[in-house]
Formats: sequence, C-alpha cells, structure tokens
Amino acid sequence: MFGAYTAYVLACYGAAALFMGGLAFWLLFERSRLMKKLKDYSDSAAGGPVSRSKSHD
Amino acid sequence: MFQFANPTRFFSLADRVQPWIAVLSLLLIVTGLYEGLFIAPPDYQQGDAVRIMYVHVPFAWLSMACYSVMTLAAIGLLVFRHPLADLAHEAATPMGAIFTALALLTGAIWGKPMWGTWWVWDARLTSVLVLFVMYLGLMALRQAFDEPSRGAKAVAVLTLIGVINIPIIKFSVEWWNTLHQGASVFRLDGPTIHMDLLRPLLVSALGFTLLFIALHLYAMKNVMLRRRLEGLKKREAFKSEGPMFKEGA
Repeated sequence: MFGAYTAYVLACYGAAALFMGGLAFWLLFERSRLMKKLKDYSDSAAGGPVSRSKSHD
Repeated sequence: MFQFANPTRFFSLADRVQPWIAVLSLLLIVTGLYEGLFIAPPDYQQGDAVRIMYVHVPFAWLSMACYSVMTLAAIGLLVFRHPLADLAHEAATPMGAIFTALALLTGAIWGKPMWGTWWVWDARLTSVLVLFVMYLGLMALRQAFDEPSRGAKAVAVLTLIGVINIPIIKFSVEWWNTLHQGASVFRLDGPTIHMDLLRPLLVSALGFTLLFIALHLYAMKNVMLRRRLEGLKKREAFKSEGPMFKEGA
C-alpha cells in the first residue's frame, strides 16, 4: 500500500488508534464506575443530605 | 472567565457543547487522515514514510499544548484560586502523558526508516522525553500527598518550574545541531511544506486538538465526580467513627 514503508505507517496509525481509543474507553469506563458508586451512596442515604451535597457541585 | 467559576454552571455548558466538539473532531480527524494516507502525494525524499507526519506532528504539538493548558491551570490555582483550575490540571496530566508517549513512539517508528535508528539522544528527542517524565512526575507527586489541596499546590508549583522545558523543546532544533529536522510549519517566513502536504496536516491537527478539548472536558467532570465521591466517603467515615480529636481529650 505504501511501498517499503507500509509496516511503519500502519504501526504509527495503529498505535494512535490504540492509545486514543484506550484513553476514550478509560474515561467512559471511569465515568460509569463513578456514577454507579455515587448512586450507591445516594441510595444508601436516601433522603439524607449526603446524597445531594451542594458543596461538591 | 469567572462567570464559569461555578462548577455547576461550567459543567452544564460543557455537557452541552462536548458531544458536538467530539463529533466535529472525529470528522476532521477522519478527513485529515484519509487525505494524508490516500490523497496527499509522497514526499520527494521520504516517499510514503512522510504519511507518519499526519499523526506524529499533531501529537507532538498536543504534548506541548497540554502542558501549556496545565501551566495556565497552575496560574489559575495559585494566583486566582479558580475552583476549576485544579480540576483542569489533574484531568490534563494523564492526557499529556499519552500525547507525549504517542509523539515519542510514532517519532521512533518514523526515525527507523529515515534515520536508520529508533532513538538518538539529540536535543529535541531528549527534551520531549524530559516532558514525558515531567508528566509522570506530576501524576506521582499529586498521589504522594494525603491532603489533596497541598498536593494541588505542589503540582502547580512544579508545573510552573517545568514550563521552562516548553521553549527548550520548541527551539532545540535551532539552538543545537540535531538529527531531528527544524521547524517547517510555524516559521516567521512561512511554512516550507507544500500545501498538498500541509492541508491534511492542519486538518488532522485541528481534529486532534478538538478531540483533546472534548476528552479534557469529559475528564474534568470525571475528576469532579471522583472528588465528590471521596468527600462523601470521608463524611460517612466521620459520621461512623466520629472526629479523631475530641475537645478536651
């Protein structure tokens, strides 16, 4: 495809896709994990002030 | 700037614009990389290996841009005590490390066919490696403090000290005799790259920059949620165990 440099070019684009995809996946995973934990706290203290702390907004 | 000092207001706006920025960034990246891979002509000296430029150069630029964002955040924290500054700093640090790692990795892969070696200790490569170590050091330093606010100040101070490396990276190819080529885009006398090669590079770089902005906004909110969770945990622990030091004890 790119002559003698095909492997080098594809390795670079592959590394970029892997790292950036990994970063995006990690951020999405982290968000879902945090939201679940916050929901657990919110459920365990239902109605209490802990579930809606304005000071941390 | 200070009207967005309220995190709730800031994240309300960020949540609305962030998906649009992400979509636009992906469109630009796909366009730029497609043009770079299949439409742009090969370089007269480097041949098709020049196509590595369309990922290597944006990551190299972003590795420095990310540190510049962290420097502004450090100033925002130390001078203005802006409540979002430390969130922005903490969120940007691992992203900067990833961009720098990618710049080093793609640079090494480009260096092997062009220079005949993966690595040389020339000024540009070494100063970028120092930047990568700086990012790792900043992440480690933040984790080393039990009190988050003290850790935030420490990393802000270290960030301001480390910013000296950014002009060193930029001008290393002029100050020293390096194997790495000199500047060919941001020059006072204009770019030395032909427009057929430059256009996909700029499109790709703009796309990756917008992707960085979108991911950074997302990561900032993650940091805020994590801190809220830690605050709740501490409050729960305080409620169940009581204060460590009681009056009169």
